[in-house]
Amino acid sequence: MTYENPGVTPEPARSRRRPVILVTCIVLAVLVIAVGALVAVNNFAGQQKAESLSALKGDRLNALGDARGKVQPAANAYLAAYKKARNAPASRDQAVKDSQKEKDEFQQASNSARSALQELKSGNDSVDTPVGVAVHQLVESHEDYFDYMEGLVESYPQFEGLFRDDEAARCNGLFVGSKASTLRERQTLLAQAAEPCRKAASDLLQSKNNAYVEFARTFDNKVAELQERAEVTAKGEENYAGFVRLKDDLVKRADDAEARNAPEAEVQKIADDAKAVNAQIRTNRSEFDFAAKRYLAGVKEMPSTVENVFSKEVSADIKHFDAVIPAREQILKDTIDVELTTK
Amino acid sequence: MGDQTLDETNKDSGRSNSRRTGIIVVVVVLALAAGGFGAWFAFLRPTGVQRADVERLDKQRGIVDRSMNLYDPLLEEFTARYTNVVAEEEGDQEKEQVFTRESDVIKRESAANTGRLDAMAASPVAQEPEIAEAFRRFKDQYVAVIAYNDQRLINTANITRSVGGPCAPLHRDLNVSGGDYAQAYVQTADSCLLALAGAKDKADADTVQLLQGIEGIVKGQRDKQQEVLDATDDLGRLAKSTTAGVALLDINDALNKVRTTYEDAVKASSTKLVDDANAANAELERVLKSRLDQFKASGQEGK
Repeated sequence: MTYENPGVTPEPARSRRRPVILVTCIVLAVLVIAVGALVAVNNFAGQQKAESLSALKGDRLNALGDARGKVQPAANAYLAAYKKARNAPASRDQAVKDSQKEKDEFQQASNSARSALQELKSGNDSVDTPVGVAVHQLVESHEDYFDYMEGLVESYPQFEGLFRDDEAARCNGLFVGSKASTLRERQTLLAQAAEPCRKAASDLLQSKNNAYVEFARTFDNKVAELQERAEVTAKGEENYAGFVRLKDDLVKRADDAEARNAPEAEVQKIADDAKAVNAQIRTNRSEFDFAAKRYLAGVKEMPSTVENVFSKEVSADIKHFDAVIPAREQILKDTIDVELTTK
Repeated sequence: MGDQTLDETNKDSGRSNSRRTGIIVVVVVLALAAGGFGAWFAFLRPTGVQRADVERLDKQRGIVDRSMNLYDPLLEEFTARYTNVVAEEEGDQEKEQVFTRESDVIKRESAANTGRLDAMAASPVAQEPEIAEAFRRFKDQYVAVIAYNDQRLINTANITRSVGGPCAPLHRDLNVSGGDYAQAYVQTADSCLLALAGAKDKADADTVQLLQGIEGIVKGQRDKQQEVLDATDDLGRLAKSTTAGVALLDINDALNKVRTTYEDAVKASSTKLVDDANAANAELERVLKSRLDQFKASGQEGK
């Protein structure tokens, strides 16, 4: 196209307009294509986002729900298997071996629930969007739940072994009442039993499960209290012997004073001393009674402190998760619905 | 190449004319299409409130309402965890750690709920005259529920820290018939009173009243035991300690009364709050539904 040569072009004026038309044409075409492409890309991106949100609401949440649903039965199966093996009877190591299958199955259930959670979380947990916030809250509740169940399983042998005779903790040794002939002996036996027992309990403080942790705190305090009470009662019993001596001494002094018709002041002194001893005896008696009563009450409530871990605490905690997690799921679903209508 | 082109131009000037016309037609059509698309985009695309906007706001309303149900289990969880650590743990660090972890959950919950209410306020539907009023009431009520639960967190923490903390041994661990009871009582009561005074900080009126009630009882007992300590002769001490001991018999009644008053007050205020929120929620739901019915009647997606 050599339009540069005006000499041979028949219509020079119109010919000059041609490039203008062409350029306009090209520019317009490009514009139209660009706008079209933009609309298409936009639409496509919107479509993709909608699809990923739908997947989140449907497949991802369902997968998580299914995986989560397997965690608790697997935990129960493990606890039952371990306990059964231990009651067989078998040593802790043997019971750990015998319940390995259930432990593995639990671990697997827990791992797949965690990866379903991770799958759901990935790319969706920016806290700037409503969906992100809802995902974040859902993830948090689930992580708490998985930590809780893993802790429940992992620390169970420790917890279960506290009162076993063949384990280091040997907290059964705390119940020494019938083995001791004096209260001092009771105190000594208790102190011996308390040391490994409290150590084992304090190991439970590291558990990922707060029911065990809180039990460990309470239990440790209760044992410490028993030890204090045992000391007070032992001391009280020992003091008693001293009081008998003091009494004999006073009686002798009184007899002696009477025999030699002692002066008023000396008799008065003996009476005052007797009063002081009486006051000491009363105090000793009251402290002894107080401590003895508390000691017995402490021993009595020990079994229920242990039983409550599962019958009360764990079931209350599971009820908490059962209330929170479904609500979080529903909120996420509804939030996604809101997002899906915003197009 | 130049020659050939020249040749063709000369020969087919008629055909080139028609091609030019074709190009012009295409250009005009494209320009019209682009202009038309632009005009549609600018003017004819549905504007104003859409049916979807109303549906969306209604969904958001449901989400906010459902979220409120989470406060109870979360606060129960907070209370259980914090009570245990305050009662059983010596170390402040552990207490602080549990407190921070559990109270952060509730703070984040409130932040999320406030965010949800703000998102609702941004909806064009919420600006509409027939909806604005119902929405304003809804927002006010739910903001109040959020604030109430934030306050509950503070109240629970303060009560736990004082009554469940330094005050706990007062009527649990001390030996009433022990020789040094008066001394022990005064000492424990002083740290209890100090904790009670601190616990009033940031607590709401009902809780302050509860704490003051307990404070009054503990202070009364403490002063009686102080009189025992101050008595100079044995007989006087015995008399004082007897009256102080008798006064202790009433303490459970007094404490129970203070507690029941508090529980009733909390129950009444929370019932009212929940009722008001439910009413505002039902009203907004009704208004949104009738707005949706308008779309149905006019058979349109937009207005």
